[in-house]
Amino acid sequence: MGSDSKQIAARVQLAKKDNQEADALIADYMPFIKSETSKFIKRSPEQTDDELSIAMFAFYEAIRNYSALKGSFLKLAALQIRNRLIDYYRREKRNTGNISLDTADDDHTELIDTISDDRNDYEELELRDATRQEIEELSAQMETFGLSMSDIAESSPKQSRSAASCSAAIRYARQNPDLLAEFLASKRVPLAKLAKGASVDRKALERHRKYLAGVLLICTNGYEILRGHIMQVLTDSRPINKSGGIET
Amino acid sequence: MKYIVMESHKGYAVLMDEDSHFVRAANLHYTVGQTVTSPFILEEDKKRPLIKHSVFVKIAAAAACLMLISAAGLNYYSKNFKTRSVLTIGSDFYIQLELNSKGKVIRMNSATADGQDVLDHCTSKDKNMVGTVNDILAVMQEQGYITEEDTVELYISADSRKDSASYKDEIEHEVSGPKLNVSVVDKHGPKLPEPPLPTEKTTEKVKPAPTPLHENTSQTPLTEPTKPTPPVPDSEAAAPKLPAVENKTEPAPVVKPEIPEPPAPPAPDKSEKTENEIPPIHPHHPSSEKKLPHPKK
Repeated sequence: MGSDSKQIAARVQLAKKDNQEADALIADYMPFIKSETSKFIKRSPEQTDDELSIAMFAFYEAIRNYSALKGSFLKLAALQIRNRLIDYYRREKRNTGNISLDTADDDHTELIDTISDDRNDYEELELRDATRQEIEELSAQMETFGLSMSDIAESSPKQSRSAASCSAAIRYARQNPDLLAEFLASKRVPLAKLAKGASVDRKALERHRKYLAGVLLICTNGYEILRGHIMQVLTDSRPINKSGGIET
Repeated sequence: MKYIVMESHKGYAVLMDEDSHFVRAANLHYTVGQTVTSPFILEEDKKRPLIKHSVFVKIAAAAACLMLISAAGLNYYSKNFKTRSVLTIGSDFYIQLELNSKGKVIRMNSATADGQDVLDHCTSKDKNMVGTVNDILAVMQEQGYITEEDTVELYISADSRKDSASYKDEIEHEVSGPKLNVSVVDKHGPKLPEPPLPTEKTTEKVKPAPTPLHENTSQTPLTEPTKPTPPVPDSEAAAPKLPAVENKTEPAPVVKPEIPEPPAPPAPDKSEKTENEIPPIHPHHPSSEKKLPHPKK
């Protein structure tokens, strides 16, 4: 029993640093995750249930939050799964009273079939495929920089002030193609030039070096869809005020 | 806010929002390239808004600081400058020592002229209760108000019984000098005696040595008739020191007929007190023993 818990703790420590190991741990503990989910929803969960996805996500959160001081990992994971499912149900409760588009009337006609849809499903599918291809290309290019999407998510700015500083640096880089070319050639983020050019604190950018690398890659040629998605950041010309926020 | 699914894992998915922020969220059967609107985001990846210090927040912070400082000041005042206990020395002197919560003397006052006289002579800077009481008793003895054999009444009035008992114990064990009769004044114990009305200094001191005759000539015959004294030797050192009690046994002076009869005073109004009025002397006060009886008419 003691050796089992030590083995799990060791795997969790590995999974904290390695995303593949985290995926493997989640796959190995799927019976446990399903068991905890079934305790909450009072039935056996199916693979398509959102509750099971939330439980897997909670297990991943437990991996990230675990430390040896917190005792048994599985107890922490069980608690995390329960709490996350409660959160999920609370959020879903806000939507109660809304009629689902899948609701069928007396003629067995679903509501979604009665609403006129201007969207072109084919175009959407095309766009999704194109986006997926761009993302795959980006992921491949990121690998040459030693980056992954998870790394970028990890180093993404959380505070509004640091986010504004990073946005200002990205805008400055986009207005100066030489800087982007230098970045692609050297595979190093020109932090000093960005900080000086965007008039932001260099230390504020240093903490988000991986994030800046990822977004600067998107700013280079070849990623039109992704660039279009973040266009409001790239075209925002509002200056940064003294407190680091964007002036309105 | 729209998010593009950038990466899909077993337990989570990496999404990018329109502000170019990358977040991890629950993978609700997402595929890479899909656009989603309301993901279930990882708690640590959620954006934390910048706290804007509005005028209201600044005022609230200033008010909170002010309250904190006031509370600290009030606490300091309450501990050091607020009267928690009162020690009253002697019903005749009615010297009141006001003590703070730490038992230190913060104020001394007296409602009587004698008490005020004692306090005036008490030059000690000691704030300790026992030290102050010792000083006051020493001054009383020095000034001749009391002797070693006299009993001094002390009344303790404190917020708590514990404090009263503690002060009583301290006084009984650490105060030296005359005999003490310490009483705790509370709702169960004896009541504090009423303070005497403020008067001029009238209580006569017990003189440690007889005064030479030629120095007493200035004394008014009304208050202190001169009495026959033995011949004064030249040497002051050889002057016999007469105990104070001897004065008590002295017969009434024979010079009574020589004293001019003062005009009959108007009927005294009890509600009014004149400056020269002599208050009644308490029977247990040592000065009362020395007081010469008024000549009977």
